[in-house]
Amino acid sequence: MAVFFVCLDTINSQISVVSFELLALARQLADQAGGSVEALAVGSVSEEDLSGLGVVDKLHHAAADTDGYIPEVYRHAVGKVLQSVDSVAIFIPYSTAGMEISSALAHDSGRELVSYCQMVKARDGDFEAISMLHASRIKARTSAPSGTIFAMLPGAADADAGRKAGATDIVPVELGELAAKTRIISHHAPDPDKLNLSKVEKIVCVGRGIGSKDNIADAEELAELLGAEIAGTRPVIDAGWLPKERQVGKSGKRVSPKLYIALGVSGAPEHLEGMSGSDLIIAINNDNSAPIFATAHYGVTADLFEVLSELADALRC
Amino acid sequence: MKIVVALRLVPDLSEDIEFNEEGTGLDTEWIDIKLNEFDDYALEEAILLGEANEAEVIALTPDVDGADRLLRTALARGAHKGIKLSVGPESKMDARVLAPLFASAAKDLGADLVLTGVQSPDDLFGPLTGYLGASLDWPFAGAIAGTRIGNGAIVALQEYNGGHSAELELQLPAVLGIQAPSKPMRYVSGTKMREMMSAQFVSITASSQPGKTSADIEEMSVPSHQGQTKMLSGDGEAVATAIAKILKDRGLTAS
Repeated sequence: MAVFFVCLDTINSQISVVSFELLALARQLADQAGGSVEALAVGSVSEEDLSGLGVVDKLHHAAADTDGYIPEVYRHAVGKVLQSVDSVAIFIPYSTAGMEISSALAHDSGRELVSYCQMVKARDGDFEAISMLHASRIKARTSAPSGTIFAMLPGAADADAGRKAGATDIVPVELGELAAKTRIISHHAPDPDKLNLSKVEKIVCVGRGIGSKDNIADAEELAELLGAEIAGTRPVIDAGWLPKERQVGKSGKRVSPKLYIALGVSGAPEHLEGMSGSDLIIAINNDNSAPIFATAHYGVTADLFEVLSELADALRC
Repeated sequence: MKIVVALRLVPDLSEDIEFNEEGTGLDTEWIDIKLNEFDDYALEEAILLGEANEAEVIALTPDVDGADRLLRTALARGAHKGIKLSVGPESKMDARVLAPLFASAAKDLGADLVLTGVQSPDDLFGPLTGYLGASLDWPFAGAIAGTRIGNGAIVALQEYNGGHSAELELQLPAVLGIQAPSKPMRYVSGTKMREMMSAQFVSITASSQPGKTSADIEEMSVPSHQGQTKMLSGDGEAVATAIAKILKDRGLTAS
């Protein structure tokens, strides 16, 4: 029976949203092929999430003796499990763990690997994958044989369809003696005393297109007029223009406010992952091919400083 | 201590995008190239580590057009040495193809630590960090946003979704995929760049063969990004008025 395999991603014992999306995709493909869904979890998984794995026929669970994610341990676990599972497709979230494990697994197993996948479908016994490259400026269609590893971007399927109450057959994975050369020194969770962008209703987010730290004052003025919080994309945070707690995206906050105004934000997948659930997205960018326009509800191709100035005047009226 | 930083040139798509005749790849003849942004961060982190620990930083890049210019920039930034890595007639330059070459060169150079960017925008067949770590069978970690040397090991801050992170300690030798440097990128003066203009670089041949590329690309294209987006047009005042009306109609102006 064809096995569609999902490598689950966990943080603090919680299975990630993208992992549930991949379970939904795997279930859909398995049902079409008359196959089954198997998954791997490494480390502890909450009881709530374990009870939501009803779409999984078999869960391989490596209850690793580590308090968190260690790349070598995950590499060892997935390599060991896949030696005995004849998978036709392996899905991995394009997360911190998934990025590095996918290529290590491809090296170790000799399997094909296709990354940045937005969509995968079965085609004549093989697979067709659509990937988004160069921050979604290029779309690539690839033909991938049975057994391929797919590193998947968020949004490939509905996570709710992958989260279904029900029992799954849990098989423990014995890791044996593994002399890992990596250890975790400390964990850091977001500071609860600092601003939590996930809970605010309006956000004005600046991207690299804002140009400089000084220019952020114009965006802050708009935020103040709207009663919104200012936020930034990864490059803006890395440049030290805004503090880390104001980062939206994959390694920042996942937000879904009533209003999200994106100023000079190109719309890399890592950023879209954090804000695409916003109720109303207005994007202003001078590049009409910016991928943010695929997600925004309203778009403006213009000099953002000119629009900012006029918008501030209009809101004061 | 010796730090090798693996650098890759990638197409600069800020201008028009052209594809080859088959439609399966970019037409690279007329396209500009630039240093992969995350490799740039890796270079910065390597130099920071080098400065803090009196380590030698070696910039290593495939011997292709633009390699000399890239290595001169790396020297101006603070790298101690630049080396070109011969890739022969290999036309495909994805991470899977390059990983064995970078890995064997790093070993031959006596690297204690290899840094590279956590990802590249053209990594269709997977990112380099995992390939390098597995090829060398060294401990590895990506999405790193800060490093320091401690107890003879490398301590690295690995970032996860939702603002979570962990400090990992990896025994050396090790491979790290850098997501962001510990400090903002340094400014390099024109004078410093001009000082490096005459620098020459040796080209070395890796003791391994290139890796095998992955699945077949059938088509590359520019996706449409404006499917359901309502584009507002007009001058600055017109679009600002339209946005203000949308916000007021939805009760989203300040209360």
